[in-house]
Amino acid sequence: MDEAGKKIGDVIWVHMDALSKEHPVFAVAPNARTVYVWDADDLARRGWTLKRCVFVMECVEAMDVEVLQGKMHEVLRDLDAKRLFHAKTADPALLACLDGLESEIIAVSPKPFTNVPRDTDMGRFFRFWNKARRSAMSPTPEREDPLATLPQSDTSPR
Amino acid sequence: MHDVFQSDMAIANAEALDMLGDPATRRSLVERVRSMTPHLSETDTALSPYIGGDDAMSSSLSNLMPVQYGRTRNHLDGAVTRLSPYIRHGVTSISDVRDCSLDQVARKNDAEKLIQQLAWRDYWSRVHATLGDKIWSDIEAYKTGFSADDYADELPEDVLAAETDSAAINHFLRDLYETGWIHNHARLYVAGYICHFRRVKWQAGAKLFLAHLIDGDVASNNLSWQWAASTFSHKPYFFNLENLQTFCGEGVDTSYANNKTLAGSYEDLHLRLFPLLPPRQPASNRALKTGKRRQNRPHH
Repeated sequence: MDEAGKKIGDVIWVHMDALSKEHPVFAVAPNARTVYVWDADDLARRGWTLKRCVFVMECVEAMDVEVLQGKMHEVLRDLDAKRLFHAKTADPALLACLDGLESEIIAVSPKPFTNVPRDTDMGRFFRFWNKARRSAMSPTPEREDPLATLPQSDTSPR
Repeated sequence: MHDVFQSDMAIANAEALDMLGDPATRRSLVERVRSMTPHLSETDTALSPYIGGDDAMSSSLSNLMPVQYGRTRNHLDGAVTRLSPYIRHGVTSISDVRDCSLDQVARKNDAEKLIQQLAWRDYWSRVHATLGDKIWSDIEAYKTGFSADDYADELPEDVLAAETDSAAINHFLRDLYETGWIHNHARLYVAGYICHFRRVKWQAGAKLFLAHLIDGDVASNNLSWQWAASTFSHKPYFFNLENLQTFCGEGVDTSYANNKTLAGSYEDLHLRLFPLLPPRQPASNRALKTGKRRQNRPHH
């Protein structure tokens, strides 16, 4: 909250799965406050060694974003953003940090790599590849306005 | 050959440090990371030759060689991309690497091997999104003749110390512990060794890799381990010493004397590792009977 008791505006939560300002989330919210949360408990739970932690910190520093320390969920909650943008992730631990937040959560997908039908059999890779090959072997399509052109599922919570 | 790779990494490291401007920058950053991350042990001192951030990533991306990758990727000194740490943490994306690959070839099919390997990552990610935390459970039963209960829960001490009965496996483990990166084929060798030569649950190996690999992500890592274990594939992945000698080059000790445990024909090893399964037929017989190609494997 700011001094007038209003929620602050837009925040981009930068997380360990998307450490680049080229990610479409930055185009969606270009004026947002950008924060990375260094959560030592999360890193301990993951069991990461020094070399992994250093590599991540180097990536974060190269982005020139604000680094906050603490438990991810608590830091994000205390930011009290009106809208919280983040790069879409499948990491359950990262997603769990968003549970119960009062901010509007907006997940933005990366540039698409493949375009496969929803009913594609994912039981084995080559069943997937047979459906994905054509789009995978083509250049990435342009998305001038990522938020406007994203499928509904890409702008819904998570 | 592998020593050549190590030298290349040392040069890349020095160049990356130069790009940071001051060699002391990394030391300062290391101290900051330590102060912000209390769980790190004082004895945990190894740093990766890989430097995080856009500049180092761009350097690797500019060295992309899709055609050579397709020809040599299975060799430990092959023209692999070294981009996996940057892809894993989103410093670049598989879409950007794909686009860069297509830009570098005259015919797009020349980049297909590389793009197909990028697609493995997309595939793993989609499967992970479906599974969630169940990615830590066996997706299917082992196809080794054994049940999950027959596998040990923990890694043996000699694996953790890189002092196993195979000099080549020890080499890969030391590289993993010291640099945070090993070639994908070396990862498969280690996974096959731990799961099948030592009969340890894949989850124990997956945790070890995730602790050390700079590019370790749960989707690619766990599902590759499950692929090697046979809990997400039709059959277990294993290898013999002859295969190691073909792909490792001179930098890895693949001598018979120091790798006896890996020696033997595939038929003999199959009998030793999977005694409850029907004996494996020689490759020539199997090809005649089924006309099937060898099982394709993931490679990053």
